[in-house]
Amino acid sequence: MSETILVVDDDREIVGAIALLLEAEGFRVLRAYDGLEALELALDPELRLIIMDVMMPRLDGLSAVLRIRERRNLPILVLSAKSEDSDKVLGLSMGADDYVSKPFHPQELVARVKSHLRRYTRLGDVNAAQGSHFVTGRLSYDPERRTLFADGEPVKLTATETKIVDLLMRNLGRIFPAEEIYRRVWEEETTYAPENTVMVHIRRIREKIELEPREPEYLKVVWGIGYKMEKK
Amino acid sequence: MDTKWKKSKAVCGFLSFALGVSLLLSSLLPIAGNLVSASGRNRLQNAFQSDFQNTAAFRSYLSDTMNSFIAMGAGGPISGGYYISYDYGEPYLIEAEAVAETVMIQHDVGISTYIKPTQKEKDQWKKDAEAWARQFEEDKNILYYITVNNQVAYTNMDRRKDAIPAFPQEGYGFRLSFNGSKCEAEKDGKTLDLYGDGIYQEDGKHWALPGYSNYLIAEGASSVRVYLAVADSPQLYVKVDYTSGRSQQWTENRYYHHYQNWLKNRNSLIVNSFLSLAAGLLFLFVWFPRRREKSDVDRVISRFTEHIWFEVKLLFLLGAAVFVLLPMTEEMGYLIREVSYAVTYEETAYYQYPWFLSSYLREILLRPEAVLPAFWICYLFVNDLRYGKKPWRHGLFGMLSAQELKLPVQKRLSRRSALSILVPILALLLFFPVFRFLNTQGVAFYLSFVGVAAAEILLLLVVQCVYAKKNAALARDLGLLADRITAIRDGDLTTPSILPEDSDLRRSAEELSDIQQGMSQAVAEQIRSEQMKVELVTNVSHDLKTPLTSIISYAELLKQESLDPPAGEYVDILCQKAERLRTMVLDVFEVSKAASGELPVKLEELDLAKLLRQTTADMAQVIEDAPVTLRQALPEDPVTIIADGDRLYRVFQNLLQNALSYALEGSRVYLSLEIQGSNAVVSIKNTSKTELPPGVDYTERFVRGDPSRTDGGSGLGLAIADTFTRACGGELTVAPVADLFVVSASFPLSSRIDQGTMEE
Repeated sequence: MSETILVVDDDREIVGAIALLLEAEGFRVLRAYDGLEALELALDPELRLIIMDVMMPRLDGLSAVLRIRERRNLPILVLSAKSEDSDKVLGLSMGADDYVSKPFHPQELVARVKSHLRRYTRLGDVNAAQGSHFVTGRLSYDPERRTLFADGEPVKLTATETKIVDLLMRNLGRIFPAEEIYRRVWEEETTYAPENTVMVHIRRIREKIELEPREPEYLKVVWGIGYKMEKK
Repeated sequence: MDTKWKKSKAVCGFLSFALGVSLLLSSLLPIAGNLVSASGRNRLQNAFQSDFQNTAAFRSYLSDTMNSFIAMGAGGPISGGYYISYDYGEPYLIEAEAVAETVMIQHDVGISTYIKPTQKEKDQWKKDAEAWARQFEEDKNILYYITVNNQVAYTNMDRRKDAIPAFPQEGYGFRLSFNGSKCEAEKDGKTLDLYGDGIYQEDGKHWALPGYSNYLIAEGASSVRVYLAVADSPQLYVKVDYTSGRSQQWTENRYYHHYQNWLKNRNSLIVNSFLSLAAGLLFLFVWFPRRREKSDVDRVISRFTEHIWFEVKLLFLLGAAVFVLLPMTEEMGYLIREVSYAVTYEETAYYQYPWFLSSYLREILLRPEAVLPAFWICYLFVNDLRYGKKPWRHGLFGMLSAQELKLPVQKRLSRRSALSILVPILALLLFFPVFRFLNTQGVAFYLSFVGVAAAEILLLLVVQCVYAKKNAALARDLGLLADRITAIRDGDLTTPSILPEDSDLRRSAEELSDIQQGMSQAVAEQIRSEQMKVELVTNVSHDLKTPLTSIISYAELLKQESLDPPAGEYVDILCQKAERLRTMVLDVFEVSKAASGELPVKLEELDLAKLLRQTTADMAQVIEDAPVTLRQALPEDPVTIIADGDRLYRVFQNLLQNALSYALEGSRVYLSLEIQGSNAVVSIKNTSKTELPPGVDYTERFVRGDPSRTDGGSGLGLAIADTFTRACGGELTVAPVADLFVVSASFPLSSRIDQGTMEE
């Protein structure tokens, strides 16, 4: 693999930690400690992904992202200690591809990096096959083959899980009450509230498709109403 | 029991006081009244005499009678004759005394000594004397005979020709005789001293008989001898003359009536005055040890009299005074007549001023039926002044008085209402004089009447119009002020409260503006400090997050190293604690944001029962791992409320997490959803592992059941639940009962809510 990743943060320890984690996964890591340094290193043609902190001296992360975006098209992950929704929206609108709030789980960060890299490198093939696919973010579903792809990789699902995914991916953004899911997947009426049964499967699907199953991005519970597949 | 006893004691004290004073007054007043005048004093003395023959009345009457007899013998006019036709059917002491006084006066003046009588007059006197004698004819209470030159001239006893009659031996113990210059008296055989020191004084103690050194008698009577005997116990003698058609008693009987009067007077004085005096003293004796309790009754009475207008009380007082002083008008008439008479004829009036005053005083004192009510009215009045709270303020005058009022607007208002009452009264009072004046000035009756009436009506109208206008302005300003107050209550702190310069309420409006300004400053201050707090927390948590990221990352890196046995465990602990620190920092951040009201909520209609089922399903693993059992009682039917699902999930996740971690091992945690009225109420109950300290507000931030505990959550669980519940329009109550920890979250059902207002 040995893809090159740029890590930018004014906190040297954090850069070091991230670098160690990524190098342990076999990546090559470039380190920068402010926005201007990042601009220089971003010119490296081998570079495949940037992890950028927001609050930095000399040039802040979001301005740096804007400047890099002018010249390069590669995934940029923004790190921030601010976890407010408005910051997230701002970061994404500036051209960042993803937003990870501090303090993060190292595993989650690595998973996200991998996910973005896969999508980025396989973008060509995925696009070619996307005519009849249902796509949302890093997930795409091929209804003919009844297969779900995460970052272009097929996900292994059981029959029941596939039925649930089929229902939700075909109706992106629509909320299904547990009763309806049960009726359509198990194809039988229930006399009791099937929340538990459905929830068990939902959790298992999350484990397979979400980067951070505890804070799901796609398969979401709409509390007091039902379940849905987020449309991105 | 005790208060009842005290009450009866107080009532007893008051009653004995009232009775005692009433009796004392009604007995003392007549006594005092009698003491004022000489005749009254005599009467008092008489009443204490056991024998009528020792009284002044007896002396006066007998002197009078003796004088008349001497006059009969001497051929002069009989003073008593004037009163022959007087009706003695109704004996009246004062009148009888007046008779005696008149007789004495006429003797004193001595008409016959200065004027030479004509023959005609002499004939008339003779007739009078015979009539007088006839009158005594049948009255055997006084036996008499008159001799002139030793010849019997008149007698009412059996008389043989020219013989001197003899008095009976029995029943007539008192004898009085006239020997031509002096009188002698004996009682039961003992001679009495008639003249004392020999100087006559008109004081009732002396016999008004000739023989004193200053009570001389003219020549004509020296041949006259009079002897009379008085019956010990007088009787009524009646003689009816049927032939003349006048069936009237026609005898003297005056002595009998005097005697009866004396008896009655004595009885009435003794019984009425002295007995009631004694009774009154007795009652006062009863009252005295209870005077303190009695004053309680006074206070109670003043509480009643307080409600009466002060003017009415004054009217009562005036009425009492007039009622008591009423005889004055009569006496005043006398005085004016007598004084004017004396002035006109330059005579010394007998009704001199001091006499008038004393008789007037007696007049008042002898009427306890008038004095007593007046006294009690005065008593109530004074009592009211003493115990009442400024009683003069309660009444028409008090209402119109502006003294107690502080604000100029209050004074102006009260002055206005006072004038609006006084002006019509003044107009009414002025009407007649002005009308009269015009009339006397030659203006026609009709014209002056209509003119004055029209002028006054016009005046009243103008006055009322001016007031109405001012009141209307005041009413408008009041409305404006009230509107401003309502606006301020509703949160408008910026619009200033301004009333016109000349408004009565301008000052109040200005003060309201000040309050408004103060409030708006305080609110701004609070908002600023709240914002600062949030900023502070945000900054702090931000500053915490950066090092925390390093800690988590390096702990993770350490974990990936292959470490010697204990080090590996240490790293695991580091990872766990770092993770907990992370959750805590995020929680603190969220709570501070929620507390400052900056927490965005996405309200939508949802099924609370489903939400709870989803929550428990989501937490299935945690619930299964917990050492307690979860019992759910959730309705099948949807329970629709309007809330933010994500926040509510956090609420119940926190509450369940709490219940599961703090419940006694092996016990049960109960989750239920019920509809109570228009609310959906979720309750979570668990039996606490540890004793719950009383008086703890569990929804305060960082509060836990056991303050010394260091394991478990951030202490923010309930605080988060509370703030989020409130953000969703619900209410969270924590009510521990002994060891049972009960948390209920109540939300209004959506069917009762106007959904338009909830979309934000």
